[in-house]
Amino acid sequence: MSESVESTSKPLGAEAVDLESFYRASRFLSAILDIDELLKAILEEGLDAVRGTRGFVALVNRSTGSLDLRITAGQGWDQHPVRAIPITDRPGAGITIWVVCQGVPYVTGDVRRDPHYIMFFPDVRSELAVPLVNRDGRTIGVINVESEQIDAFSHRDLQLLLALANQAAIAISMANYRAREAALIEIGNELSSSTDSDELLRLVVKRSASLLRADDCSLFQLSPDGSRLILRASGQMLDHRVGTSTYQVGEGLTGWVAEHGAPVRLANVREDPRWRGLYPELPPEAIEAYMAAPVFQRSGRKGDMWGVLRVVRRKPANSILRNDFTERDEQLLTTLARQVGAALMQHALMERQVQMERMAAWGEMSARSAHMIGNKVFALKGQLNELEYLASRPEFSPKEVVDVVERAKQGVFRLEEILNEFRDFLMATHLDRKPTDLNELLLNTVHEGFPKGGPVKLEVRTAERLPLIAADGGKLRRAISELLENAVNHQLEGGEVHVVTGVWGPAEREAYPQIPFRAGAEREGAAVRLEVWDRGPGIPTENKERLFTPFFTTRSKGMGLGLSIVKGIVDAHQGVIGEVGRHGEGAHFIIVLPALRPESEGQPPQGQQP
Amino acid sequence: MYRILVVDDEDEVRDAVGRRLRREGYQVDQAGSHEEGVEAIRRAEPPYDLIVTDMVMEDPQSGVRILETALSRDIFSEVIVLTAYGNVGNAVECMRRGAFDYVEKNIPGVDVYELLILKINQAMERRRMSIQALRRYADIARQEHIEMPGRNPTDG
Repeated sequence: MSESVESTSKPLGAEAVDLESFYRASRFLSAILDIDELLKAILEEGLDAVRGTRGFVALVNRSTGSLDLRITAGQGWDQHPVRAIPITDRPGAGITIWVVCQGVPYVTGDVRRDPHYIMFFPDVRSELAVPLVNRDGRTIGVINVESEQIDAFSHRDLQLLLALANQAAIAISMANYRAREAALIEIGNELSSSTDSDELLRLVVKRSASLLRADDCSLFQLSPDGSRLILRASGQMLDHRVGTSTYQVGEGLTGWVAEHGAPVRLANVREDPRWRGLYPELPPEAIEAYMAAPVFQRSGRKGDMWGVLRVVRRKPANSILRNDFTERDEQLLTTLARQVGAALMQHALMERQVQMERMAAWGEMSARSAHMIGNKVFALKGQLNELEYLASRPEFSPKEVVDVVERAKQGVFRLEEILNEFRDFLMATHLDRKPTDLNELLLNTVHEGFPKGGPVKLEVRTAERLPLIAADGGKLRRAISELLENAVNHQLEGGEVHVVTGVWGPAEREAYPQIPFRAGAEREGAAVRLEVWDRGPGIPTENKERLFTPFFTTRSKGMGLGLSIVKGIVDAHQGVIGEVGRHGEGAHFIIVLPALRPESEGQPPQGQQP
Repeated sequence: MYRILVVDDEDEVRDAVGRRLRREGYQVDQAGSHEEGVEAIRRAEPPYDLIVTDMVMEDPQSGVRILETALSRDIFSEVIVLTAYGNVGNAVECMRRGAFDYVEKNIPGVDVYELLILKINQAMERRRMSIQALRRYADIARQEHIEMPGRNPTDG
């Protein structure tokens, strides 16, 4: 009959009960942080208040297009196998699905007479289902309660459950915010600790797609003259076009973003006059939603624009579910873009610094090389002068000639040595990197290079299960050999060399604060170390600062390029080398190299298509 | 025969220059740093007739130090400065302070050793004439009963 009759037929105490339920539920909201726990509490509270037999909370899964049972309460669930129901607007899909599609509640007093009902449990007579609706007005789930009684649920019960559903929807929103916030911070850390620029860009597109629940993400960079956008990284679909696909600034939606320095968010791309359809990740009819934001370095001014970050969502298999980007998604993308900009800028600064150090080393090297080569050529001219003299004499002595020629050969030999060191210095930074096992590389180097049975004893200790590194095997071997050779040459009467490999993490950083390796060392397995130490004389304190500069040598032989070459090789691997020994107790070198990130270990970018 | 000191921090340079000078009949001593060179100049008895020195060794002023030491030991010492490319400015400075000449080690197509011998001969000639002139003045002074200050070159 009419609602008002029903409501007055309930005892007055019922209102108080309702309020109490509501009060308890709102306290859950602030007290319980775990979303599953919270939903369970709300469900149980609701079930109790409306006196239902059993109930569930189910959430919409937009990726699979199904309704996933998340929380259950009441009896009989262990026998029930179904955990996900495909969402469809075809008739006969059940009450719960109907509620999801319509976005309005449904109550029935007798399911056996109801057109929508699909049986899950045989004893059900009454059913009440209310949608969970978020702030954007989208149905994100359902709370469903059942009873074996006929007409068990009143209008008041419906209202109560609606109020609880509201709470639940708020709780879910908040949980999502927290998750996104945490993800943003995590991404921020990751980006700022990444050392390789290609890896950084790949990380950006992957994390962006995952954070925004997008099907693909592409990153475009402005050309130096600011006239074009070039594709620099792709989550997957435009991978083959990296480096070639180009938009003129102002061309297409992406070009518009670059021109105006403002984000764009659309559901139907083809209806927009700016759409050009040049390089979409998906065919336009398959695009459910499109969003792009400018990436700024430093301030938000146009002159500081680095490029454009773009994400798309595919139309879901289930067309009833809308999957477009919300305003909140846009805010998230903008925040992410800002983080990306900051990370890129920091990366550029670091690279510039390394380059400047390199150039300074070059300058010094060139000047000294000219000096050394000049002297050796001068000496060679002396030999030629002598040969000329010998040849001019009537009494020609072959032995004298042979003598001079021998000395000339020595001179040329020394010139070639200089040439080789010069080349090593040049080539130290040209790397051909592959995933490498540091332990294996070390053992090979030692096996081939270290003089066995000599006066210097070698001890090698390798850590188990060292993460792989991206290394140029030849160059790294050269670097290690140089250190070993130095150790041997400073202990000609006999001594020891120790080589150790292991991880580099917070403990090591604390032990050796002089080693300036930053890159995300908070992460486990983010970096590896190689130590070489001996019991030789060690490095005098006054020499430590210039140890790795070119031409620094305390020996009479050699150009003193060795350690600067080692540093060049380590730098080019985005690593760090330092010396931490004490004068009189031996030299102690530590090399720290970033490990290959597990996701990028030779795997192609993942495709999530079912 | 003339006694020459060759000062240079590179072994092969000292060797090459030394050999050429000995071939010419000079008596050659070597020093591997400007400190060694300064020591050798001070201890030499009699002082060296000529010193061939590198411009830059332990420091950019090495050549100048050698020159100053040589001249303070014996005013009639002749010094020839060896210079690498780019150090000509310093070498000119040396000449202003009394060096006889400078020779660039790496002039393309020039036999620097023959050039060096030439300059050494010129330097020795100048030295001979300087000493001869002083002797003449000393003789005149004796004849005229004039006191000459300082050491008399005819005294040994």
